[in-house]
Amino acid sequence: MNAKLILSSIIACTLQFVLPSQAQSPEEKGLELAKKLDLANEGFISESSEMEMDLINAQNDVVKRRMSIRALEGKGDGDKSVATFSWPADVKGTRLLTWTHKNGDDDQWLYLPAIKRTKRISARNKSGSFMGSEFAYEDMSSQEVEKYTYKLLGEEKLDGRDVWKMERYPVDKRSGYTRQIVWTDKEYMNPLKIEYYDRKNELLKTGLFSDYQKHGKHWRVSKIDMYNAQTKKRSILVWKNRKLGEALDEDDFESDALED
Amino acid sequence: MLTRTAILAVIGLAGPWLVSEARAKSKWKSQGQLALEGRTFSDDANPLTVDQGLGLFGRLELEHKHKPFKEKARLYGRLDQQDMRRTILVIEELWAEWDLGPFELRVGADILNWSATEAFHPADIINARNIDSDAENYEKIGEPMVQLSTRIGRGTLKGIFMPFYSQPILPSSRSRLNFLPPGIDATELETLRLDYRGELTDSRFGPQGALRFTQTIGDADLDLHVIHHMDRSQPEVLFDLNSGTIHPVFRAVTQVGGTYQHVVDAFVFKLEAGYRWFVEPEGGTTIYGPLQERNHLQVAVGAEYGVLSDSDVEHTFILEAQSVFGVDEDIRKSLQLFQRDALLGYRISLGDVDSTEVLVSMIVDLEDPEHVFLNANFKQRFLESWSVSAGARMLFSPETTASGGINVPPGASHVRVVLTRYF
Repeated sequence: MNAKLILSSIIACTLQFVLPSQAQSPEEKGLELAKKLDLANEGFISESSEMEMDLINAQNDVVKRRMSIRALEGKGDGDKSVATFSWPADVKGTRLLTWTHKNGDDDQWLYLPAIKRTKRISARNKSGSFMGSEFAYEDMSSQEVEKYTYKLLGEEKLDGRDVWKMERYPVDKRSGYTRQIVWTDKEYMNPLKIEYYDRKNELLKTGLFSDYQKHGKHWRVSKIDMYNAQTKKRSILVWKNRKLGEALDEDDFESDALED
Repeated sequence: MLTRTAILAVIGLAGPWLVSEARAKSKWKSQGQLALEGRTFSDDANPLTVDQGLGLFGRLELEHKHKPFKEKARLYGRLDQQDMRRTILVIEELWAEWDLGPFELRVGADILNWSATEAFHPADIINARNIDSDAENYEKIGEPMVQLSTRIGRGTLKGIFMPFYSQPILPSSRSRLNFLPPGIDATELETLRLDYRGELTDSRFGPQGALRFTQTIGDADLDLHVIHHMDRSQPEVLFDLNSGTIHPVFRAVTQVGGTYQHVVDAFVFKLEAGYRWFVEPEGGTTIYGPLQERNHLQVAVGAEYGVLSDSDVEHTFILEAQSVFGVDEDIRKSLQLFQRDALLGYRISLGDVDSTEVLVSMIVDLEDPEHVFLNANFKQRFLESWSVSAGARMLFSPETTASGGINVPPGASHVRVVLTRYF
């Protein structure tokens, strides 16, 4: 009798630990993975880098965009970042300050150096093109867990690397996407490829993430090749001189600090 | 004149060389632009004014950083081939900054922009202007100042001391912006100032100061300020009956005001206001006669709404209105170009690699809606380092008077084309 009770207890305890994970829906697994990835990318404190973007049209004409980025990891909310544009020359010195929020719209300010004015702007139009490129503002902003719902599709190999394949759906109705399919590298804990589907649920563009580099315990992408399947245009974004963990002054991420 | 022309030539010819030299040193930053400006006005049947202009505009900027110090110089100049009296050279910025940890100290000439709205600027009054430039956004002239700023909580407090009055650039008798009777040249008149003591003086020195506090609170930005300075937005006029000469007069003023901007969805709502107490002449009058009582409140409100189409084209709608309270209509119209007016604007940005943009706006005098000021401008980048802009400004006014306000042609109707090379 006692042995039977002990066996029942063991089975009950085992099921308690085993069954919930087996019973997790793909959505729950997706959210769990998103949180795991977010945790792996946490703790970078700050990040600064220079970025160069090649904008290539369907005729293979290339124009360049250059900017520097400084970002401060958020405490309890999203990250803060300042992008300073350095090319083309007519926008040189223009700065964009973004306070990303886990919930709700981001806050944004634009500094116009010619008239020395800092202008508060609405961050609602996040699906708009970033500097005329194939990247949208929402692609460039901090990817907080709360901005999507998730569905894990499975595990597979991509270019010989182990990846999780996951679908995510923007929470914000004003996003330019209905869904994204993300292939996340298990070592880098970051995407290798993302397919973006437009509001009509048709493939809009594909981003290929490559040249990962390790900075301390964090992996960071150094190149994204974004190809627009509908316009046949391509934008290649490359990071240089990236530094993580520097002691940046939080006051530099206030709107009045944008002015020269 | 020769000196100015020579310096402009230096900007044009040596600017690109200086920029490339500066870039060779890592702590230097530099940029500049050189523009060819052409404009044609509608005929005003006045042989004294210049109806066509062809000018060369240049701006050069150099910045040097070596923590905790930073220095910057920015100047612009214009050489007008048709009207040499439009030829100017202006220092916008020439300052050194020292980061002292909790404080930041900046000493030197600087320009400030405290405005939140696009066309009406009650809060943006520091700095002398080039009144012979674009009416909605006059070119500014650097004011020598000492600025000390510090963080207080989540806000910033800045104190400013300005010991010198920079002289505004007044339109000459050949300019279409001339506010004096035909044939009288403001640039040749002796400008006087009613200083903080109520004394009429031609001195360029006097104490001016400001305190400004700014803070972001949730979705809103708040700015509060108090300023005491020499108002140089629009001169009053005094007549010397003995010599028969006219004196433009600027008056010291104290302003309390601020701006408030609030983002709600795709809207940005704006409020900008300032109350101004003008210094009265000692003894109630000047040696050339009395000056008008001008104390007033100026309030501007605005809203901006942006929407993005599926083709990545951004449409922005702008609505602004402004009013001046506390003075009668005649005085109100002598204060500045815009007093009780509304602006309706529409901007379309194509979101393309050339940043193509078209802005059309209409300013209507709310007291006399027959006075309408239309503006249209197209701008596009090309060959990465160049841009072209073309625009037209039209004034519909049943009459012109000398009482000020937009019932005086602000530059009158004209078309313009600007070709700019950035470096």
